[in-house]
Amino acid sequence: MSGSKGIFFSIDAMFAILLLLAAAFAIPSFLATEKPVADLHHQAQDFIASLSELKVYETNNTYVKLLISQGKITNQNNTILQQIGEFWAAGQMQYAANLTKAFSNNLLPSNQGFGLYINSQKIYEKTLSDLSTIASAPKLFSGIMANRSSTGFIGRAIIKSAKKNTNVIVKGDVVSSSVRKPSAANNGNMVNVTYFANLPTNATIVDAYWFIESSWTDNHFKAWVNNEFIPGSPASGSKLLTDLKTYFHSGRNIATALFWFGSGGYEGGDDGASHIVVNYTTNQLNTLDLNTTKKYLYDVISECSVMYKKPIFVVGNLSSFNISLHVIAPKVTLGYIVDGVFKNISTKNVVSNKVGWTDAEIKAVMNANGVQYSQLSNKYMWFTFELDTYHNRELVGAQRRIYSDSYVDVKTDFNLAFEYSYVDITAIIKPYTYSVLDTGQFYRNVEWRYWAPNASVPLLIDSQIAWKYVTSTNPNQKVRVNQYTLYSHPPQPLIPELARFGYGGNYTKINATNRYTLNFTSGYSVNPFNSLVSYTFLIKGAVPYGTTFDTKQQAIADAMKRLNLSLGLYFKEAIIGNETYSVGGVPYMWGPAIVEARIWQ
Amino acid sequence: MRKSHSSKNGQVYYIEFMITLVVMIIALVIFIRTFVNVNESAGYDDLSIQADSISTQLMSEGLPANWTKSNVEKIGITNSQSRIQESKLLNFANMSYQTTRQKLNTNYNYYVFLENSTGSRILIAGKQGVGLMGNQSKTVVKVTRFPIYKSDIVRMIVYVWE
Repeated sequence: MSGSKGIFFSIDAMFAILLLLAAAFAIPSFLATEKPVADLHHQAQDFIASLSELKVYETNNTYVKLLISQGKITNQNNTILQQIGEFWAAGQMQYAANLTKAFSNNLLPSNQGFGLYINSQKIYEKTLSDLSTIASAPKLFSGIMANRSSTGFIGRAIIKSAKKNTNVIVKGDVVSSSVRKPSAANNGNMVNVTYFANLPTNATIVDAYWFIESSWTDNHFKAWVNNEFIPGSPASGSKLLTDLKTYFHSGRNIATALFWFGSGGYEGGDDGASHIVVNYTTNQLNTLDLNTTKKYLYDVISECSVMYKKPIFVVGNLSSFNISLHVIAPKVTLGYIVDGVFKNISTKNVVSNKVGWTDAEIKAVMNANGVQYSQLSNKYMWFTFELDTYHNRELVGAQRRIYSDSYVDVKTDFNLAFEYSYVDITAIIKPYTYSVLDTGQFYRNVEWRYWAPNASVPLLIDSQIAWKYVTSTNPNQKVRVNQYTLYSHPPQPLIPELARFGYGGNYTKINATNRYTLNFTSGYSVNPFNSLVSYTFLIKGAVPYGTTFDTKQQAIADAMKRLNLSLGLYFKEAIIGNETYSVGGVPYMWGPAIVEARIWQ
Repeated sequence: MRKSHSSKNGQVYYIEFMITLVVMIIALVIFIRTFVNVNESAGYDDLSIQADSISTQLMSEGLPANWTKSNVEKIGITNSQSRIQESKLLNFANMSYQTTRQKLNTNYNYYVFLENSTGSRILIAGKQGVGLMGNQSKTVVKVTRFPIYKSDIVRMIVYVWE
């Protein structure tokens, strides 16, 4: 008997060995690491989309079944999101919270926080104390209130989808790396810069183009979008690649440009004027990410030292900078440029491909150089990253790389909370006039004009400037908006690389034509055709039910008229939905309201 | 007699324990080595992009919108409103792995599966998931999405590796 037991135990041990071996080899293969921002953003969007699609009658959720059995849910044709909204509109917050919890708690991992908000009011929150990454997805929605009725014909109108003019604009940073030996010859280096363009998941692309301008005018380059080669791209100096619609898709897009030696120019890379513009339609009306504090770098690969200059537009009052780099390089030197003046911060060795600078380290150097954070509000400044000791002419060596999860975290007091039914628009502004030709298409005086619609909220003017500076000259530089002078050299310092300029909405006049002008004297000029100026603002995208009319047609006409007055010119291609309700037993409508899901970890 | 019997059993347990302990230590070492290497691979960025792209494409309706195995250009398994369509899911599951990689526009390996809110695996065409399973790659990127499948919101988990 005891001998049999011994045999069984040995078999048990063998099973244990096999199981553990299987675990040792199988489990690590699925140890996964996640890209937090993109993944969380998708999850927030998915959550809203699925709650907007799933109907009450079809779900097996036990809490929904309970509410139906208790008579708390009367319209089983509601979507889950509409039902949450109906509870919210009726003031039954506990049911709204519990229903949200019933669909979110088990679905999301325990290490993720989640919140649902309607018109910024908290419906439900699962909080975590240590927050590092947050993503949100807003949506406009509405519904029918149970047990309420109105009289007459009332109408409302709401923008359903809109052609958002060049809503996704990817602006290149200044990247350079040697492509020439210390002698006159090609060193064989290829400078690879990869950009990212994030579109809403339900975007329909209307048009796309990509302007590439290399560091030196003789650089050769090629381009790919989502790993597809752009046949028109082999070029030198600069090129506008058009009709790229079919290369882009909804979601995250990658665009890669490869720069190499031309006919003697020292460095390959992006001179900071390159940009990708994707024009698309979507029914996701709030797509702005001004609240995102982390400004990510693009992916750069080179076999020489790299100089990367990252422009930062500080929206609001600055409270801190923190920098985290993921790189392949033995050391990195950090510097900054404010009003054209460069200052070194420090050089650090890279440990396990990581290097960073705290706010205290950055602030101490800036303050010592007479730069206060309060001077940086609502304007551009630059951080410079030098991978290895930078030489503009050198032989190729080990690979240096900046990964795209490197970032500058810019904390300010700015918090854009979308008010009820406001929609964000980013519009391209074309040059209005240009004069005093320098050379080629470079002019010394350029003016852009834009109209700020009535009932809009101006947020930001952002310009990426194709500039030309004759070294060793001292030209005057003046930037003006309407009657305001925002920059003037002299007395302010000369900005040799005026690749970016931006300003907040407070200089923009509502319901008026605004003028943004650049004026230079000999030695400085800009190419207005290769520059990119955009205007970002909020506009009200809905009008509520109005006066009671005798007929449905009158109610619709009134609602459309009121909405068109609000929308102005920017939404002439918008699809506008309208709804009317008549007397007697017609339920009271709630909304439209903005529901927002936020996920963090 | 009773004491002798117990003593013999005790020796068997001890040997069994030692074998298990050694194996556990080996397994733990392999586990930690693999885990530590996950974030150090140079392919992390590319994998993230691919995982993001594959999951986004799967959450689309595909091309053409009502695609079949014979005319599919791009694989998507939903109705574009987050709802998984059974026919597309089955077609996806029954296509060859190489074909699905081509139609998902990726050269990387992937594995996709569905699970409900309690974490139970949802079988797809009788299988635990779609794609390649049991890889030995050190860098694996995971993306989680929330589509509707049949009557509830589920987790769609996508693993991508070189």
